[in-house]
Amino acid sequence: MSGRPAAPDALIEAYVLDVIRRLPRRQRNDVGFELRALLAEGLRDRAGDAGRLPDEAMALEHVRQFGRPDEVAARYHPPGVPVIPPAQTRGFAWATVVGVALQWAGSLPLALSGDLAPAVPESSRLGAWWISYGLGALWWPGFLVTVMMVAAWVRQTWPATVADWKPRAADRDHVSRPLYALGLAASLCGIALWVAIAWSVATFSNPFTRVLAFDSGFLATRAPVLLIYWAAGIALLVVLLVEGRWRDLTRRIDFGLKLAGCALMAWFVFGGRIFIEDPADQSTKGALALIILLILGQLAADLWRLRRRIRPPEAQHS
Amino acid sequence: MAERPEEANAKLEQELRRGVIVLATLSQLREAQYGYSLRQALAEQGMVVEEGTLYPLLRRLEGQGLLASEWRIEDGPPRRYYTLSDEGKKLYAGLTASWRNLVDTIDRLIGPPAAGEDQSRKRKAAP
Repeated sequence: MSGRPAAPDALIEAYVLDVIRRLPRRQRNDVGFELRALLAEGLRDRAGDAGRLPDEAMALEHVRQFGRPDEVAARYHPPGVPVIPPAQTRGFAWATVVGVALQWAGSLPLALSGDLAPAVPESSRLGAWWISYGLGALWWPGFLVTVMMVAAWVRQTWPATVADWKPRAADRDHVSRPLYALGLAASLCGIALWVAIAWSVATFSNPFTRVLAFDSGFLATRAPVLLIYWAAGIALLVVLLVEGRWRDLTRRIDFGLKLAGCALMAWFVFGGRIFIEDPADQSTKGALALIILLILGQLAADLWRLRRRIRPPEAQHS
Repeated sequence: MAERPEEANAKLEQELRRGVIVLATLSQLREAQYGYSLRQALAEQGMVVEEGTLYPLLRRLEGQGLLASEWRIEDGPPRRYYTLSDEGKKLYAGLTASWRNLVDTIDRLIGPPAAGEDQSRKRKAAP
C-alpha cells in the first residue's frame, strides 16, 4: 500500500483530533492513540470487505458512521449533573423570558420618551437604549444560570433523599383562624385609622393635618364606595372565620372582591385627587399602583393554583 | 412536531438495547480484549454495538474502576486491552443475576411466542 492510503489516514487523524480536543487534557493523547488505531483497523476491514484499498470517501463514511466528533467526545465523559434539570427547564425558560421582557418593557418607553437620558437626541434613543438597558437586561439570564449552577452543586454535594420530601399543605381550603383573626383586626384598625385621619383633618387645622387632608371630591364620591368595599371584605373575613374553610362560593366572592379592589384603586389613581397636597397624593397613588400589581399577581397565582388541582379526566363513553 | 411511529419504535428499541450493552460488554471481558476485537466478538454473537458507543463506554467503565487496561504490542500496532477488574467481576455477577430474573419476569409477562413470531424473529436475526 503506497500513495493513495495517505489521504484516509490524514482524514482519520483529523477526525481523532476533532474528538480529543473536546476531552480533558490528560486523556487526550491516550484516547487519541487508541481511537486512531481502532478506526484504522475498522477501515482496513471495511476495505477488505469491499475488495479494494481504502480511499478518502470510504474513510469519510467510516468516521461519519462512528458519530459526530462532539457527540463521540460527550460519550467519553461520565454522565454529569445537569445545571438545569429537565423538570425545571420550562420554568427556567419562562423566568428568563419574563424577566428580560419586563426590564425591556419598563426601560424602553422611558428611553424613547427621553426620561432616562434627556441629553440623547431622539433619533439615537433606540440605539442608546439597546447598548445600555437593552443589552444590560441580559444580566438576568446570567444571574439565573449562576443560581442554577449553585443549586446543581448543592444537589450533587448533598443529594436529597426521598426522606427529605415533606407534604405541602394538601388541604388548601383550610383557614387558619388565628391568622384570619389577625387579618380582621388589622383591617378594622386600618379603617379606624383612615376615619380618624379624616376626622382629625376636619377638626384640627395645622400643617400636619393639612398634609393628610383628603380632597373634597374624593370624600364625596369615591370614599363611600371604598367603605362599602371594605365592609364587603370584612364580611367575607367573618364568614371564613366562622366556617373555618374556603368554599367554592367564598373563593368566587374573594376573586370578585380582588378584581373589584383593583378596579376601585385604578379609579382612585386616575379619577382625580385623593389628598389635597401633591406629595401625599402622588405617593399614595404610587403605592396604590403597586398594590394593584401585587393583587393582580396574586390573582394570577390563585388561577394557577386552581389549574394545578388534580381534576378527574374526561371519561370516554363507548 | 409529533414523532413518526417508526422513529418512536426505533428509539424505544435503542433504549432497550442500551440497557444491556454494559452487561454484554462485561460478559466478553472476562478475557482481555481490545476495542475492535470486542466489537467483533459481540457482533459474532448477534449483539451489534456501534463503535462510537462501545469505545467511549470502555473508557467510562474503566474510569468507574470496573475494567483494568494495559497497552500491549502483539502482532501489529500497540493496542489497549481491557479486562474485568475485581470490582467489575462483582458487578458482572450481580448484573447477570438481575438479568436472569428480569428475563424470567418478562417472559412470564409476555407469554410464549405467538405462532409465526419465532420464525419471523429468526428471519430478522439472519445476516
